[in-house]
Parts: sequence; structure tokens; C-alpha cells
Amino acid sequence: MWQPEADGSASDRLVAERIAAGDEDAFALAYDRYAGLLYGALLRFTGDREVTAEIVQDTFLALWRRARQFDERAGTLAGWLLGIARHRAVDMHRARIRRPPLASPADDEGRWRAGEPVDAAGDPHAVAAQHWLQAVVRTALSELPDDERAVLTLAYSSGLSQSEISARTGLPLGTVKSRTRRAVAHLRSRLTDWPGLLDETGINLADGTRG
Amino acid sequence: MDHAEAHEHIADLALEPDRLTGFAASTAPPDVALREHATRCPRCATELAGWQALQRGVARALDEAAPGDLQRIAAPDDLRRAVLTGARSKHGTKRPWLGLPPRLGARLAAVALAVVLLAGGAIVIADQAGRLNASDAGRRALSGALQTTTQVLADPAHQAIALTAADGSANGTVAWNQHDLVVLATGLAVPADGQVYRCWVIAAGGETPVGQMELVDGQAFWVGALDGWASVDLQNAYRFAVTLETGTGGAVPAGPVVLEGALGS
Repeated sequence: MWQPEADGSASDRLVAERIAAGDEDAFALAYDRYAGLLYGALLRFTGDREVTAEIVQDTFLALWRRARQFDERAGTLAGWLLGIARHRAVDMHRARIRRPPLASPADDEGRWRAGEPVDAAGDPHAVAAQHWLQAVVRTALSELPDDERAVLTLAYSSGLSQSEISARTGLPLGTVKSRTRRAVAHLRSRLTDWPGLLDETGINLADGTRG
Repeated sequence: MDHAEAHEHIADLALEPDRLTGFAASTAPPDVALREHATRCPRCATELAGWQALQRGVARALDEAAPGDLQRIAAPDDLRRAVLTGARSKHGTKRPWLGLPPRLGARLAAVALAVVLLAGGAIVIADQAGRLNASDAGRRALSGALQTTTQVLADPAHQAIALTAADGSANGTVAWNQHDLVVLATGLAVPADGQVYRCWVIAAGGETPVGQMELVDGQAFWVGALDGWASVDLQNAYRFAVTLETGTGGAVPAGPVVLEGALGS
């Protein structure tokens, strides 16, 4: 039976190769690595646990069937899976906005959901892309350590400077800076690895250009 | 401002989103100096632009975010079981009817395909179901291809075309929906060592190689993606062809066309 390295690591390429060869352990490893990311982003996007579970299943089954098509030169496995999930989620979103929802748009999580009516003046495609970006970035933020997420939220949501965060939290300025620095570095590293964000939002995190 | 100073100032700006937002119009001497440096240093310009993009993305993500929106969400345990059980079925499916022994499931999928296509009056795939005596890996790949075919055909928006050989020695199908594209063919001879069957999409701009077919006990197949990392682009394509190539093939077909069909017909 194939095993990852002792530290639990295995490259995306190796995992995909093993999955293509029918290795269920490698498939389980991929699930354990990326299911939380997919589930979190999809639930934030759809606001519907059942739909989210359906898309997560579809996405991993696509990995099981098409793992041999994975090419790490084109991006990470997480990015590939997010791309597949996004296509399916946006398809559902389009279907829903063509068919007005029967129920109240308020969802059980209190979040925006894909079936919510869209401003007629807005481009539904752009609206979906923006909400997908929001869902994925929020998921990435949720995966940061609590202390890093806290300083980042104060900086972005409350618009506080590093000195103001220090005063607000009572943390030494150096600690605030180092936490913020780690947080933005983690976040940028993750988001750059997910090229699915780039084409529909027009924002390229790799070089900051707008497509 | 030299490169090291610029790099340090960018790192400081990355910590304060408001300063990044206002950077372009800032008159603070370090910001002015950095702007000047960035005009002649592509590396720093790229680095700065990357942080600005991150700042915009995070600002949008946090716009009107409730505290609960940033809580970690775990996938439920039963979902893990469902996904892994689906893979263990060897079909890679969550559909209950496919909890059948692998070979039987593959045969049913093949028969389903043949029935659907025959009902459409377009394509004949007569003997796929009886040719599954192959290695586990090959059989699994073929089973996956047939399962994908079944799902594609179940999609009301799917499209399918026939592939034919000029001499009638082989035939096949290309079926696709918005997510997957499947090529199935029967009657192709086992290629000689060093030869492969390659799939091509032909548009006005020329031929594009899209994949290499596998051959399992007489059944040739290939599955491509039309979403995610799309491996096939059907925009403006008007023909689909399979050729016999030497080696892994080049960027343009060099071998004989063994199957072809018109897209959109």
C-alpha cells in the first residue's frame, strides 16, 4: 500500500499519479487535504448544505476519474479542484437566477446564497464571480490561525493601523506586525495557488494585473 | 530608494491596507520614492501590484462579513464516507444503482450507451459490453469513461456526434456536455509498439491535439474536461479526428486519420 512521506506530505503530482492508478489511500489523502477548503467555499457561495455536499462529491469524483489529467505545471491540485467546483456552483447559480427562488433568499447561515435574486442591472456572471471570490477568500481567512485572522480583520474591516491594533489589543507593536506579516503572507500564498480565482474576477494575484 | 529599501517599504505597506489603497496618490516621501523606483524595477512593481490585488480581494471578502462568516467550516463526516465509498465502488460514482460488481456495472454502462445512441439513430456501438477482460487499471479507466458517458448522456443539454472510418473498419462517438467530453470507439486495431491513437480538434486555425486514446480489450476511449482545467476547447471547432501517430505525436497530425466526424452536425 502506498504511503505518503513520514511527515504526511506528498506532492500534488504524486497524489494525482497514485489516484490515477486507483489508489484509494491517495484519494482519501486528497479528500482530507482539500475537502474542508471546497466545502467551506461552496457553502459560503451556495448557502445550501445539500447542494454543497452534492458539488463536493461531484468534484472529488471528477478527481477520481480524471486524475491522470492533472498537470502540476498548470497549478495546484487545490486550484484544480476549486476550478471544477466553481464551474458546477456557477452553473447552479445561473440555473437559479433564470428561475426565481420560491423560498426566501435568507439562508440558514445568514449568508448570501447563489439563488438570491441579482440586481437586474448587474451582470449575473460578474456577480457570481465576485461572490465566488468572496467565498474563497473568506474560506482562506477562516483557515488562518485565530491570532493571525484577528489582526488582519482589524486592519481590513476596522481600517486600523498597526499602532492602533497594538493599542486596541494591548499586544506589542512588534507582535502585531509579525502576526500581520505572517497572515498576509499565508493568504497571498494560498490565493496565488488557486488560479480559479483569476479569470473570472479579473484580478491576478500573482502579478496584480487586471485581466 | 534602492531595491532593498523598496522591498522593505513594500513589506510595510502590505501590513496596512489603507496605505496600500492610497499609495498611488500619496505624497509621503517614501511613497513617492517607491513609485519612482517601481517605474524602473519590474520586480518591485510586480510585488507591489500583487499586494494591492490581495488588498482588494480581502477588502471585498470582508465587505459586510458577519463574524460567523470567517469561522472555519468543516465538511461533515458522512460526506467523507459517501465520497470514499463512491471511489471504492470502482466506478467513482455516488449513484446507488452502480453499487454493482465492477464488470457488471461497466457492461450496463456500455449497454446503456449503446441503447441511447442507437435510439438516436446515429451511431452504432455494438460490442462494447463484451470486451472488458482487461487489466484492473485499464478496466477501471474504461469503467470510468463509460460512467462519465452515462452521465453526459443523461444531461439533456448533451451533444453527440458519430466518428467513422473512411473504409468502415471502425466507428465511434464523441459525446459531451458542459463538463466532460468522452470519445469511444470500436474496431481500431491494436497499435504497433511506439504508435498511439491521438484525438484532434480541428478549427479554422488548425488542428489541436487534445488527448491520447487508451485501448482496453478492443474498446478505445478517452475522456477530456470542458471545465476546470479544460483540456478541450470546442469553440469554433468543426471537426473531430483520431489519427494513428508514431511516438507521442507532434503538434500537428502526421499519421493517417482513422476516425473523424463533423462537430455540430
